[in-house]
Amino acid sequence: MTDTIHSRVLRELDSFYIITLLNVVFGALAIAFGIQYMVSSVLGMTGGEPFSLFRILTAAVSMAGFGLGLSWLLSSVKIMNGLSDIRTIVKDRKAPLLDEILTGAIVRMIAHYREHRKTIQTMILVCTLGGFCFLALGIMSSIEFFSFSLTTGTITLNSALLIPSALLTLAIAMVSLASSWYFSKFSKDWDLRQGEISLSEQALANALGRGSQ
Amino acid sequence: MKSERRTQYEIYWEILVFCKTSRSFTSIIHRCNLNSKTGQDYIGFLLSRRYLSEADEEGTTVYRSTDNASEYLALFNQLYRALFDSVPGFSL
Repeated sequence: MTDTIHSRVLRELDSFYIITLLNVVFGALAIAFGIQYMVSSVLGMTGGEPFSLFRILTAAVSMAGFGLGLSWLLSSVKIMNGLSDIRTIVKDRKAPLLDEILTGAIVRMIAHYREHRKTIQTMILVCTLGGFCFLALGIMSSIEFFSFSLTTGTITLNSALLIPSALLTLAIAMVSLASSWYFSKFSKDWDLRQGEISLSEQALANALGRGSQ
Repeated sequence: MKSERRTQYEIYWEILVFCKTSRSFTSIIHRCNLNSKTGQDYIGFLLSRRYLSEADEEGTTVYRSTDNASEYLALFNQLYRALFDSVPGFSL
């Protein structure tokens, strides 16, 4: 039983750590791309190119993307703090772990969740908004380098150099939306556990002789 | 770990596990991240329930978990491990 719980705790910690790490990386990329799109939109406007609503819209979405990226990165780093310490406790010791070490790690995970619950809720929102923001940017930049002729039915690629940037933007959007889903699932599981802890408090109070306190 | 993020039962459990070998008041509050006032309250309660015993070692008061604490420690272990049985769990 100890090994099973040990492996479950470890699997859960590893999964959450990977998602948070992925969010740190993609949060940083989101900031970089937000700045890049913003600068290119603004430079286009001042460089004598015609004033277009499309450029203003791209600049606005980029600015929102930059802000969300920053918030995304800071929130991810907050969650990562402490998570790696708990992971080290469980990972660096060979199974079977002493009962108290494993239970101690579970207590720390719960305390970590309680401490960062609000941040995780923010992440769910930021990741969803960021995902849609970067999805819009990816689509906008794709429109820029593809042109479609209705008369001949041909698709023309204006600049192949823009493809990696559009694909990366779409990848950021996908990771962001997937992270939002995973964070929601993680949060739901831990809220259930919190509920179970509340239910078991009476049994612990009785064992301590604290009655209904 | 900040104390306000732990329940009182989790703090009792931490103190009792840490005091499986004799510990001074300072080391307990340091390890369990408590301030002096709350540390006194928690240790005072555990002493009153005889889950901790108090002794004098070379002029320093030390605390140690007693056999009475084993029931609470076992129940706590069982309940917290059950969290990973009853909830499906999160993985990629």
